[in-house]
Amino acid sequence: MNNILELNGVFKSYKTFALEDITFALPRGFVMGFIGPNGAGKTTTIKLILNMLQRNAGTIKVFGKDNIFYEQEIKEKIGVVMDNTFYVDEWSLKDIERTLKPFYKRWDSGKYNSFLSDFRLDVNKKVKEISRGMKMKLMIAIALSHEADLLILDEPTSGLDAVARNELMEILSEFIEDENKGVLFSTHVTPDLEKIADYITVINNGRILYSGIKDDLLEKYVIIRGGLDVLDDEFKTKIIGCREHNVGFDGLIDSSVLPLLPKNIITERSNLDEIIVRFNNWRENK
Amino acid sequence: MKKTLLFVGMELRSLKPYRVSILILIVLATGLGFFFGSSHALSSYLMMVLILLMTYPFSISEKNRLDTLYSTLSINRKTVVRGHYSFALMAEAVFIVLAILFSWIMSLFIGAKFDIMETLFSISLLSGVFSLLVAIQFPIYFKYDYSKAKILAFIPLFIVFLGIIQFPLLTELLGIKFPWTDISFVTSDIPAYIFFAPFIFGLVLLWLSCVLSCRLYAKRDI
Repeated sequence: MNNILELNGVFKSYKTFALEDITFALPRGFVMGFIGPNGAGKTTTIKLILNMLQRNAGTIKVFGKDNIFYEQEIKEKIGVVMDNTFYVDEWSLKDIERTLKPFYKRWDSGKYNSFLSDFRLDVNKKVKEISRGMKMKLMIAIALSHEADLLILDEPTSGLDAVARNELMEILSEFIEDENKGVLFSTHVTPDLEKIADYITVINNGRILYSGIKDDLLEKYVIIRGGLDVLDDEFKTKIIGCREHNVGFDGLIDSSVLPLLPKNIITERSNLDEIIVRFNNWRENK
Repeated sequence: MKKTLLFVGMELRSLKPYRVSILILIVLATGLGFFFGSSHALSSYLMMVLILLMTYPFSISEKNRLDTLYSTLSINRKTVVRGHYSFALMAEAVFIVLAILFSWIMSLFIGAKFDIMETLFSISLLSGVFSLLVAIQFPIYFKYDYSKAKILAFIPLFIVFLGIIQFPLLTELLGIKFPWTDISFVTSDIPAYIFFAPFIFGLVLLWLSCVLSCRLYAKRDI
């Protein structure tokens, strides 16, 4: 398979936190949701991909090339959107173009101005004068104006209203129509991903819990509810993020175990939010 | 090389918000030089402005997360470091031109003495001091963030200025007569090529410092 991004056995350790054996691959032409609770290691992983952090072990390949050795070549084709801008507050949107344009061979001024116009962004406005939602759109405009093949988005929707989030999803849908492109979308606002992601990578506490096709993940785990009378110790070990209350329990379970469960258990289709929360609870209680 | 120059351009643009305060500082330094009627004093004040200016890119970079921006551009970390040093060299060149120009203007308007050899010697010395300070300060900024580094980075600056202030007192205590307002005794006694030794020495220091900064910045987590 032709992967646009590949991480293999990546380790990065700090005094109080470590990323361990991070391995996943994003095939060309798809959107991968990179999900996990706050502090799970999403931003650290993204920073490793961008060579902002020095990894302790493992390999990272972007467009099939090592991300450090071919850094300049690779970054020419990567668009990055972070949770906040990284431009001088006093720069106008015109200044930003003047500054960034010479760094990219494929910069398209027409496209940049067209995006700004579509997003109702005034080129004469300064970065500090625009709202958070507009800043996100500005970063998207920049990322798309140099014909990036891979978009890396780190929590781009946090703090955005539903309208702005929806607009972003539409832009990404359009972007991914080209099967040579790819999107890595890190977020903890999972409903956005339910609409757009083809692949999901779940990270928690510095470890990858799942990486694969989104629908497989949603089929793999189901939510179960039942009375306390059926909840024995052996059964409990099979439940991920089991929550007991006065009248019963609920939790997440691997669907392959379903035939072995008592008949009076109610099952429901899971969603990404539930999966993250349950895995998080399960990890914490372990 | 092209990307390093592009980086310098970006650095200059990042100073845009501070252009008025930089201009005010230059005017103040020049005004003080004129007030004291000494081209050496004028060059010293301009150098102080220059040293202050060298911290701006690091401070702006931290405030606006420009290290993150650099990480998204198609440049490597060596380019970032070389860009910062090139900016310093460029600023130093501007300082030299301004110092010579203002000294000459001073001689025309207030009749201050203007001896090109004296002026060059004084500028060469100041450039050497500037390069020494930058050579010490920049690796500290590349190793740490601006906020963490600034106290550490200001120590050499503080020592140099303390030394400059204390040196006349020290010579007085030791009974050595040092003509501070007239350095012609130096320029008349030493061969011309020695004039430029501090400047050349400064350039060598900057190069060594740049090599060190490249290594430090390459290892830094952003």
